[in-house]
Amino acid sequence: MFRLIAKLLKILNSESDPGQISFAFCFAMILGLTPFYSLHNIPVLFLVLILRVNLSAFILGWAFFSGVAYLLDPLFNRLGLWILTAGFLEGLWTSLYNITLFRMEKFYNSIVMGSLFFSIVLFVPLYIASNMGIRRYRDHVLAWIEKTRVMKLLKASKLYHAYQTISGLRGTS
Amino acid sequence: MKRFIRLKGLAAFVIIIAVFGIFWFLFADGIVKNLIQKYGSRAVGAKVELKAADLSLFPMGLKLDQLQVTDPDSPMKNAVEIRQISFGLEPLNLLRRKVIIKEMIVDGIQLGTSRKTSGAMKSRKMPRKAAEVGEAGKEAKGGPLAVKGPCGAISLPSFQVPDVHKILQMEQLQSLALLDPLRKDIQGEKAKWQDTLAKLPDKKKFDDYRARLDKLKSAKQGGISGLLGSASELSILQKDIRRDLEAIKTAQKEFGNEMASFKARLAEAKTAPLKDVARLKEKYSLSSAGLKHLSRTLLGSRLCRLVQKGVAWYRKLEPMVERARKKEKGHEVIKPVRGKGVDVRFKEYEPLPDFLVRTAKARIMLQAGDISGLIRNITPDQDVLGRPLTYTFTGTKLKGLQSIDLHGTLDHVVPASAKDTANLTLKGYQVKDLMLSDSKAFPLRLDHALADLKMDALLKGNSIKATLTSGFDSVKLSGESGEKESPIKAALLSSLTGISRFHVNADIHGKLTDYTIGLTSDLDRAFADAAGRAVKEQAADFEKKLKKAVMAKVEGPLQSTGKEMGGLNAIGQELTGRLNMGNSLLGNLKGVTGKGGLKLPF
Repeated sequence: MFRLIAKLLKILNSESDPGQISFAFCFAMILGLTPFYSLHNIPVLFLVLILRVNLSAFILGWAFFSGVAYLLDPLFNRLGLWILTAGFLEGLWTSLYNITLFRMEKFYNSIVMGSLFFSIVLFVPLYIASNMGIRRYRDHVLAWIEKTRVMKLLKASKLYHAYQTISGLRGTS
Repeated sequence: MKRFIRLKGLAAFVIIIAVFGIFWFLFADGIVKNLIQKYGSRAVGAKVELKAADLSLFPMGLKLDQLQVTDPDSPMKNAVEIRQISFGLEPLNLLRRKVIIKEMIVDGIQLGTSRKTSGAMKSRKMPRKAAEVGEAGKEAKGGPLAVKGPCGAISLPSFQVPDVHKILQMEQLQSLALLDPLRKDIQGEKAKWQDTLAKLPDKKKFDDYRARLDKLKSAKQGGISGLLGSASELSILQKDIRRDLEAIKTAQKEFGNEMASFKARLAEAKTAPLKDVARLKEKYSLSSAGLKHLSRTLLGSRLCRLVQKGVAWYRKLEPMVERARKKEKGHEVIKPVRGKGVDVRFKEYEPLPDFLVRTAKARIMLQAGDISGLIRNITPDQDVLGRPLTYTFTGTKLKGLQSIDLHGTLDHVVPASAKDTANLTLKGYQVKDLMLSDSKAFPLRLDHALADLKMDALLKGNSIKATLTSGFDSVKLSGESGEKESPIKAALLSSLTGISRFHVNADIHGKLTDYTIGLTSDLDRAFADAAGRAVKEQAADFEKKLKKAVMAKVEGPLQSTGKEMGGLNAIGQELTGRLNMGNSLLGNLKGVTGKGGLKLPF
């Protein structure tokens, strides 16, 4: 838990573009919340790798959302079942059901549908909220911490310099 | 552009996909093997093992070598062992998550092979108890023979004369059950009536009345005023005596009713020992009627176990022809075999089941030779396919078997009116050393016979109806005889040599969870003819001993109850005595007020 928080703080404190981190969280949400062996995860993975999204944030987010998925599975099941059995969508689902590619996607499974719908709906709001959050964190919290006397003392210490040297040697993402 | 695109990522993506592909290519066989073992074992409830699986991509197909399915009821045996299963898959349908097999070859099926190691699963739950299964497999009613458990211990009556003393130790006699409470009730009633007697007018009180009367008689000469006073007192005395007499009469009437009830109970208790004798004789003695059902007792448990095993395997295989499904807002919802959530099925333009083996050719290897089979339309979605599963297994000129033909259908096209049939015909089956009954009381072995058998079974929903007819020719039966056999068993054993042919017919009907097996055979007639006389003699001997023992046990309580009744009679006599006393006094009083006595002026 502490390591996760430390990693998150490290990512937030890095100089990565907030958009890259937010996109990483959003893609991680799709991959983490939906069943891993789903066809739509191939293009998601493709986009994560080819677009300049923060990979550390993606992996961290994936781990986080995978855990959340276990808790939300009953909700996804009910949501997915509701969507799949909605009368006004029956024509659409029937058409997709008869297309091999969508059959491979297994959209007709209540959890696949529920989790995918949930993560797509939250994609943009999460992106906006995450972007705003990172910017505010950096502008206010990080700036305030760096101004504190403790932080100044810490930064002036030999220990901090030694840590920075080691971190530099290990490389940062 | 470079600000948004990471070209290295494309390479990473290709590498990841390639790694997945190579991984699948290298380990697919192992994964398939493990999946079959894991889910097969779970379905059967015992280990399902596979030596090797070979998944080929071009052409797409699967080959399974040496599949062993453990018999869950006997973990050191395989229910079925298959040398090889091979089939091709339709790739396009596979992409649509539909496993469609045009032709499956199942080669080298062996039944009941032994295993080197136990096939029991560590986490396997205990087999379902008889209670859970219901009363499946109970024998048809109609005979005195006890049937315990679903098939279980069908107990034969002993061929020896039963020990009456042991029987009386175990059994509760109805006569004693009647006598004990009767005696207590009589004692209680006696105490109650003694209290009542104490409260009722007794001799002393009547003597007092008599003294009062005498006094009044002597006051007759006391003039007009004395005369009037005596008349008034006489009237009072008369009323007092009448009131007391009325109380005694009421008590006597009540007592009479109770006495009648006790007499009836005593009379019933006196006849009860004979009823006890009849009941115990019926229960413990082998009657001629009991002998008529001997074949059912001897052969029934074996047949019942076979039926029970068949039903258990049908239950296991049932999901293969019809899987669990339900409707959700008018849409069919199917619970996937594994994974989470539910799959909602939509209308298909070209409907196909999720799993379908169009044709499976099978070869069953028996010691007698090979039996070839053809199964069509194996699918859990018969309603989608619109066709039932059909099967045919045939074999001719086998070693020790002239021909075998098994065919039938598993029709679940309309799940609500599912109908399964099985028709089996065996001709010229050479039976050797078949233990017909392993009962300790009368083990029966069929040393050899030539059998013809025909079975027709129909399962409609949950109702089973099956008939079995079999004929045995060139029969040699044998039983085991001890040193000191009862005359009945000796007669039965000697009758076996005279039996050269017999028939056994069975009828199974009821629910799958509660069915009844009726079994008839002309063996019964042979047994009854041979041992009927010995049975009658033994029954008469048993009855005589039983009567003596029961009477000895009941005699004491019967006598003591009679004595108690005698005590109660004395109370009745006392009541009568007091009533007579009162009546006589009342007569005297009338004498005084009547002619020659005290004449009242009004």
